[in-house]
Amino acid sequence: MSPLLRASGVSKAFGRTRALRDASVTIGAGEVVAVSGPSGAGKSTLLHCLAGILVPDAGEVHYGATRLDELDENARTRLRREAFGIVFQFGGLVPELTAAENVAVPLMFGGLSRAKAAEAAREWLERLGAGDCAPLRPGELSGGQVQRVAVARALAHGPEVVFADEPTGALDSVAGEEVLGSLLAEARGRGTAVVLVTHDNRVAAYADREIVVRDGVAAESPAVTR
Amino acid sequence: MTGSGFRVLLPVAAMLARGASRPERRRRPLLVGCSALATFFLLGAVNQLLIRGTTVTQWAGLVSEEDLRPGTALGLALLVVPVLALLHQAGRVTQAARERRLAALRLAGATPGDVRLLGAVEAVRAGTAGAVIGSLGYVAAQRIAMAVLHVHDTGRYAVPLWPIPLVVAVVVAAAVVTSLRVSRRVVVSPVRVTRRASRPAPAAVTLILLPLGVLVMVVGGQTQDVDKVGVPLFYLGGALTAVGVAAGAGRLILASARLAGRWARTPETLLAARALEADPRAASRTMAVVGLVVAGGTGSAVIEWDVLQQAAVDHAGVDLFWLVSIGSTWLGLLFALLVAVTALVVHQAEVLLEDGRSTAALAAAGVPVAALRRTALRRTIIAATPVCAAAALATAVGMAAGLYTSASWGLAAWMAARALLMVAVAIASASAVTLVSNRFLTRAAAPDRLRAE
Ligand SMILES: Nc1ncnc2c1ncn2[C@@H]1O[C@H](COP(=O)(O)OP(=O)(O)O)[C@@H](O)[C@H]1O
Ligand SMILES: [Mg+2]
Repeated sequence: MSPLLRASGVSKAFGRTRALRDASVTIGAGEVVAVSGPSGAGKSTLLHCLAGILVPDAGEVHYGATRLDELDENARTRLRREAFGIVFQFGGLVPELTAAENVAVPLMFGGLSRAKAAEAAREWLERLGAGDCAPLRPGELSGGQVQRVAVARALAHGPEVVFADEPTGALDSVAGEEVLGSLLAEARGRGTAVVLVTHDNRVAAYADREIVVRDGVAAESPAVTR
Repeated sequence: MTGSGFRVLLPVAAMLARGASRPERRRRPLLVGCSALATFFLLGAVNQLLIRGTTVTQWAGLVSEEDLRPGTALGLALLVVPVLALLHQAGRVTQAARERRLAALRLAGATPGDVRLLGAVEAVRAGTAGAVIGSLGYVAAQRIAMAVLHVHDTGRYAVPLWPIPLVVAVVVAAAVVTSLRVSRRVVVSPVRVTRRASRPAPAAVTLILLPLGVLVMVVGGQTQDVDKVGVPLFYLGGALTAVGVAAGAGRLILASARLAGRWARTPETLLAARALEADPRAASRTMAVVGLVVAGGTGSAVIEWDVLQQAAVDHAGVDLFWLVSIGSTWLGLLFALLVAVTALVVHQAEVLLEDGRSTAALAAAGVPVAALRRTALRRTIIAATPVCAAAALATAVGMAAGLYTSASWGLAAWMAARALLMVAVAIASASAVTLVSNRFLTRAAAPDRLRAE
């Protein structure tokens, strides 16, 4: 498998907290990788560095032939919009927009007309089993429905990689499995790589491979052949 | 805690007054400053009403002439309105953060009443400090002004001491009421703080005062018995129109946001329109004051027209009295606009910093900060335009049709130009605010806001 995303020797500190120390990981195209480890270990920081949300203090992050850590904010923003999709633990949906608009707005920022974006948003919500949610606002949805909408938003523009930071952390196990199941089914069907942060071992079992982060140090397990 | 009462409350209030976060530390000077300004203007208004008799002066007629002083007093008292609006807005900013810390107290057994009492205690402290500063400032400013202007009759003009405690009491009471009103919107349970569920959308009936006020102005202006009926009716109509602008602002913003949301073609406009649609009242609090400034500026255009016409007929220059009066009006309007715009900055900061993580999530998903800035700008324009336009139109129609039975084209053109100018100035300054609040936007979009709490 050709490496899609490669971090080598990445370090990141917040004040005196060294959140990430010399972390090196590789994500292959279409691969589903779980990032696990105890709370505060540096999982989110690693994810943010890989996704170009944070710039590491030291080390390199390669996305294909591009040095992510050397891009300026504008270029990283464009890359995140075009090539990456992101799901957070708590939706991160815009509360004033309907579910359909939440999915459509990033597509509109990507240049789609409002009508086309709305059309695509409806299709994605259907596909994730959240078609009924389309006209509702996040406040009117259950936790599981919110996460489905967030997954639709992350996938709708056809990203190469989806980053999910404890996407089921706030859900009960049934709803969590449903959300995760549909995210992974869609991603695998399209050959989209998934970086899945979790501190739940059962969630990690869905992945091809696991990266364990402890005290800011990452250790990779070899790829599982499916 | 209820039992131990003030013995516990006062130290806690002192702790809160020191403030734990930066916005909270900024809130106190803002509260003190607003109270000081309100005291200054109210004392000025009371002062005007207490002066007796008329001295003929060349230019200071607004203060020295018996029958002009009530108008001057009213003008000064009106300046308190934008200051109160700012006070209210400042109170809202840090309320949620404060109450989150107070939640710890609730866990320790404090009742919601205790928590509210703490807010009141803080308001009394800040309000009293401001009112004392404002009183001292007024007395000193008056002394200095009279010395500089070589006023001989100082005893007649100087504000007596007895109304000062009254004005201080009124300002402190206003500060307390504002603080209670603010905390009413926040529910504190021992474990978490939530903004109280949004109120129903502003109803269409809130718009009724606006046309009613204009109608009363017109009727007052057309009445034969000018002094007994016409003038009082005209002023009543003016007051109704002003209240109508303030009361109807929320509904106007809602209508404008719905329209913008329906026709939005860009994501920026859609985001802006939906945010306003969800909470039109929040924007209306500041836009109402901007609208009132537009109404005042448009209304004063009629008087200026009259003065200019008179000067043309007399073949003399404009009277010094009028120059001073018009200049003061402009200064007052400028001040009100500045305060309104400051309140708008505070409001935008509140919107950005309180709305949780959706701004940061949008930025993480690849929405450029420049696009978020455009969103904020459009929000301002969608809210400001209908309020300013309605205020200008209502005032122009009411004043022109009310004051002049034979409206001239010249007057109509002058009014229209002034109305447009006021709307443009108001929207431009409201938009300039967006630039000032960029700092908040950058902070709201920062990745550290993505962390789970
Ligand atoms: N923006 C930040 N400011 C200060 N400290 C931070 C920030 N982000 C993360 N940290 C700290 O870095 C460490 C790792 O955090 P994080 O990557 O969020 O861990 P995880 O996601 O594994 O729970 C923690 O000690 C956390 O407190
Ligand atoms: Mg985390």
